[in-house]
Amino acid sequence: MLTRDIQELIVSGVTFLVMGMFLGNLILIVLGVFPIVFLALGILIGQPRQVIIERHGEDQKIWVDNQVADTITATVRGGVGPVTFSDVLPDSFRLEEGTNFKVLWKGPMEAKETISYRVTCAKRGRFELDAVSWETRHPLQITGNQLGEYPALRTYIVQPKPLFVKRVRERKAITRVPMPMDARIKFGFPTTDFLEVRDYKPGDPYRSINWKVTARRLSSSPSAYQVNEFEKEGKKAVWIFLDTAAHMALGTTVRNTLEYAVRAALGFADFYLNRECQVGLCIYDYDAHEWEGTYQQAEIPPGLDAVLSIVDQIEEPVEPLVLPSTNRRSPTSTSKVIFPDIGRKQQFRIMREMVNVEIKYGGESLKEAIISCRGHIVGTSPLFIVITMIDASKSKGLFDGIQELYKYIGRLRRNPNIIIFNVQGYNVAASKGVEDVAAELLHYHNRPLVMKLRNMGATVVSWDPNTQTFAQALIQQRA
Amino acid sequence: MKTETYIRGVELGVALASTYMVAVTMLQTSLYAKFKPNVVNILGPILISFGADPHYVDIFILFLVMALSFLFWRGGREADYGKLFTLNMLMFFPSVLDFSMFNWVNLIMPYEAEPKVSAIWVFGVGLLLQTTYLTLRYTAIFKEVRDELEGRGAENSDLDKVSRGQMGYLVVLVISTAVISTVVYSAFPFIQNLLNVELTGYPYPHLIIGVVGTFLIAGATILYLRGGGGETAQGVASTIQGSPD
Repeated sequence: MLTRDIQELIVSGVTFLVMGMFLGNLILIVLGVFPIVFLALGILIGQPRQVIIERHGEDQKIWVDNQVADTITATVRGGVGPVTFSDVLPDSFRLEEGTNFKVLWKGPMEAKETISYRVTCAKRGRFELDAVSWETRHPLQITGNQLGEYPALRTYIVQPKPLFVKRVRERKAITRVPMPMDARIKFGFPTTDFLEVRDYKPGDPYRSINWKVTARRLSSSPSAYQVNEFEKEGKKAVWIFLDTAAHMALGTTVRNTLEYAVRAALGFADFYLNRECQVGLCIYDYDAHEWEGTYQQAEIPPGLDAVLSIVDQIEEPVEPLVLPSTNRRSPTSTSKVIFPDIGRKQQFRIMREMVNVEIKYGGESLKEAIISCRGHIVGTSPLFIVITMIDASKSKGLFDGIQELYKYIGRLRRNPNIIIFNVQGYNVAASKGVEDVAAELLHYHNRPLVMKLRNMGATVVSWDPNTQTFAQALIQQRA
Repeated sequence: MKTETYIRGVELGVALASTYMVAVTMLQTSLYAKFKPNVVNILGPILISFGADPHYVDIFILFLVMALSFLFWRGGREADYGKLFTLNMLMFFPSVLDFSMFNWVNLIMPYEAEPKVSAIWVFGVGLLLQTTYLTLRYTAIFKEVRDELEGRGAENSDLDKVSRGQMGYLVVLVISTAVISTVVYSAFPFIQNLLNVELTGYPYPHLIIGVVGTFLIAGATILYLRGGGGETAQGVASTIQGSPD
């Protein structure tokens, strides 16, 4: 394509030619030909035509804040002119050493240039560098720049660092928060592990009556028979609900509320998995449209093959079914759920899912997400951990969700079974003294909401990542 | 020497050389000789006020245009170089008129061309003007490219290589064009004889043929340049698909 400069040159040449014609002046005519010959030669010896890129590093899986290195070689053929090539890095990568951009002069001979760089990966995620961008220019800019990309695939999986909580050393700081004391499997066989003594219920076997305790109680006042309760065979269950709504983006690209929430979720998952608990994960979006119709089974229960296929990965998005009663789409169509399981495999599944989590990753509100998982919750009386950022202007969805959770909590309500883990996003976003004050004011504004949640029986754990470690946040919340 | 300093040095050299050559040539034209008394009348009082002899008006003009040329070079922008080119062309025009087949000036006032310089001299000065124009125009572009690449994080050593390469390319292209133009100019008398044989008896005057020819050249140039761009794009397209050969 011709540039504006070139058109000016052609016009000046033609002007000389026309003037030469009118004046009958050979000198002017030949001088008019001068720019035209110049341009013609410029086109003849054009800009570089072929750029070949070769990448020498390898795909890597690393932790956040670790470094990776790569080397790229560019070979340029044909033409003459400047060539630039660059490996466009994700925003969250910080260049530590070397360069990812190079400009070189391609002379008459083939040119080859190598660049190397080392970067720090500051944010979790799966980063795929598909191609290396290049640009060739005409030495005199006679023709337009040619832009292109050469396929050179490189994948970096940057895993978030879990916030490990090994154990609480300080006796004063013992809290009922972390362990799901009431969680149990509904249909498990009783083990020999004693749990508690409780009142007799119709249906309890006579042999489970603790006659000694019954006699002792009857001697003081009339009371029911007392029976021994034993732990059921099976694992205690923990459900983690992670909010990915837009308000979780508060902060910078690298350091925002969602990043801390993800790390907290991994911390909880790691903590409970290491204590032989079953951990499930459900990702929701506070801002998602909430289903207003009735909830009913929207899909046929999967067969054994289907169940096995979801063991290793999060559920594939199911084509939403249309409910015949309401003619609206099923609310279970966008579930992001990892069903409860134990061990390192589950830890790996959760970690893999967390790599991909981003704002608006979940497609359901909290209530809808709970309903999506209810088949796996009913009867287990698990510990629920809702990781979110409490916002006074966005509380209805949270209350709806908690009310829904209460339907699945067992009759023993004396222990807190719901933890609202509040990542204080305003503090994360604050970077100056004035902003810190504003953040404190906003948290003060949230206090009635926190009180209301506590009155409902939920344990609210607030975490300011700027001033507290994850463990400190948990310790300071005494039930 | 720093590459930028070297480029600025080249710019200064060609700017002053072309202005000097064209001014000297102008001072030897018949048209200047005809108007010189008027020039002395106008500039004489200024020279006298400086204590100089009015007959040194030629040297005064030479210094004046050289100073202007230096100022335009100092400006360093493309617009300044455009002004320099205009100044040079204004001085060049009287000398080139002396070698026209039609004495258009004679239609306005009595004028007989009696140049003191040869046609090849004037042609040479014309080539120098065109060379200066193109050199200054493109060195300004080189600076823009350099600034842009610097802003994108290129290293200075790489930028120096690019600038030196661009300058080398420009010099080769300008010299090649000058050689081709000189060959064309030298060969023109022979071509003229051939054309005279072919075009004698043609029903249209030569002026119409010339104008049509000029526009044909312009059109052909544009078509050529556009065609060249297409060829380059094809080469690039194959590279994008990742087929090295």
